[in-house]
Amino acid sequence: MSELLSAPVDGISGATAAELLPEETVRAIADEIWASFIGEDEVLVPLDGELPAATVSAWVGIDGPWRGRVVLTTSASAAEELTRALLRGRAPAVLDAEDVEDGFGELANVLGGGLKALLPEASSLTLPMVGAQPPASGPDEHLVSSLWRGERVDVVVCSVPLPH
Amino acid sequence: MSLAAADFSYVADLVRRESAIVLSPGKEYLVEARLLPVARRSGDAGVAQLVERSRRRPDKATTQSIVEALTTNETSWYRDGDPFSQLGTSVFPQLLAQRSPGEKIRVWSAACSSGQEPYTIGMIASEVVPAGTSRVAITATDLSQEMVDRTKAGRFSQLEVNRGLPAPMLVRHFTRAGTEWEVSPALRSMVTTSTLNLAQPYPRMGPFDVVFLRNVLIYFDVPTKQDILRKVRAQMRPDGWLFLGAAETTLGVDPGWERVALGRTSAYRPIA
Amino acid sequence: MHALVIDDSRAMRRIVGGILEDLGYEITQAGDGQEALDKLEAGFVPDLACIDWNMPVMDGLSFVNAVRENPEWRDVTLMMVTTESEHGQIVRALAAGAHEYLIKPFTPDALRDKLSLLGLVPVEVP
Ligand SMILES: C[S@@+](CC[C@H](N)C(=O)[O-])C[C@H]1O[C@@H](n2cnc3c(N)ncnc32)[C@H](O)[C@@H]1O
Repeated sequence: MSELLSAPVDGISGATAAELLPEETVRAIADEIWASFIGEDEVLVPLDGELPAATVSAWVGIDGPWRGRVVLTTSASAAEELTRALLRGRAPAVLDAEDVEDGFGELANVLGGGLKALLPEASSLTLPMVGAQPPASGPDEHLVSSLWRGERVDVVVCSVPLPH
Repeated sequence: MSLAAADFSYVADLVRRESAIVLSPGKEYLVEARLLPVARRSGDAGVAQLVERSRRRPDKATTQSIVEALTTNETSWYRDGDPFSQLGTSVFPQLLAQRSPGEKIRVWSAACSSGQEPYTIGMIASEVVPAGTSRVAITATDLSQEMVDRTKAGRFSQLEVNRGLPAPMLVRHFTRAGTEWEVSPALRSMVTTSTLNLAQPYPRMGPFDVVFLRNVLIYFDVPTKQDILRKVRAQMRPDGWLFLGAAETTLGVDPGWERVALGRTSAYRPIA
Repeated sequence: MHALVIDDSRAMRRIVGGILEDLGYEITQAGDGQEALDKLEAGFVPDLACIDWNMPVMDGLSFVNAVRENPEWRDVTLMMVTTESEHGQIVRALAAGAHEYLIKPFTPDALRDKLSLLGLVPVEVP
């Protein structure tokens, strides 16, 4: 493992997001969430689509020997659809902005929690945040794109060098 | 697009011949939905083409994937609760009292699916039988090679461990392996796996003290059920115990069994 | 039967609460552990509490610890419902006194399976 010599590594703290949480792991966790929370037959297709101009993101931080962030990004309409699907038959007729923020944020939270559990050392999760623009990501930003009902859904995992 | 009648009856005949599972008319939709992924994987344009190819030149792999696609593998840990709690509170204690201390206790999970049933039995044995992991031997069989392989691997997704596995058992008997959970080596060593078609002749196994034949007889017609129950009885000790699924019974099917109430559930015992 | 559903996400409170309601439960909600504890201290003792782990103000593990300290609340069945899914975290929650542990994401069936393990729903006979 000669790369270790060039990177400032102690344990996992110097590893990149893609090394710690490779694409297939991110997909596996996301697929479980979609199948149980969004619907039995709902799939994330591993394909690139067009990310619309106006997007909404939800993110959680991972704190431990490795500090990172997991960001979920999609269009505002897909975030609303996801929230509706998450609530199954229990969604109110009109979902307000707060409902969508909460529902979409919870998806990011569950995704972050599932990924956090796969890290080699114990870590904790920060509470989810939702906004139009996630904090700038580090140089090891690792993007996993999918299509859900024809809309692009991105998961970005990255290291965060400074406290969240 | 719905399946042509001739295609449906070809598939129904094939599945019946290979597994004894009865697909009655009206299940066209099910056949179509289950076979579409099989067709895609094998490069056929659709279900009709898959059927056509299999009809023209049947090959073992295609036949097997058609049959496996049409079996229902749904299962869960401690399925329905009571049969498993009774195994721990009445059946194992009675067997322990009746058998000499060195004697193995043999249990057969006769349609084991992905392994939740045999490993549930193993967890209960390790709780209530002294030196249970070596004293109790579990034979797990299924028609499907894929299910047998999964049972042997003893790895379960998060969604699977969420289905009825008590948390204290999860932490005691499983460790995380990537996105999955893996059974402990001790538990796995209790379980021997092999494929077995219940509708065909059986090799000599057992003799078994306990048989779980759950949620599989429902797929068969009455003569097949009779045949299976008779062959299962021949693999059991005379004072053994048979557990069936909640919707299954020997009553009115095979007179060779006595039904005994165990708490809120019941088990069946061979009549000499 | 009365259930207290504790989660900072109201979507999650609706989902868990909705499944329980379908099973005949009456539902009370709380957005964090402290809010839930206040309800218990005011004399509301549910049969079941479904508890998220990561919440603001007071997290789920602290709530479990607090409930277990008061013998008047020992009949409350405590089930964690959380995305925390490391082996060690489950051990910690059980050691603190949680009876069951459901990992997010889950299906309605998975929640029902847990309740029947706890003897909190009649076992369905198809
Ligand atoms: C619904 S699952 C039941 C699993 C488990 N016994 C339970 O109760 O949860 C039915 C299983 O029976 C198997 N099966 C179907 N036909 C069979 C046959 N002819 N011989 C052996 N196994 C069969 C299927 O492959 C499937 O895994």
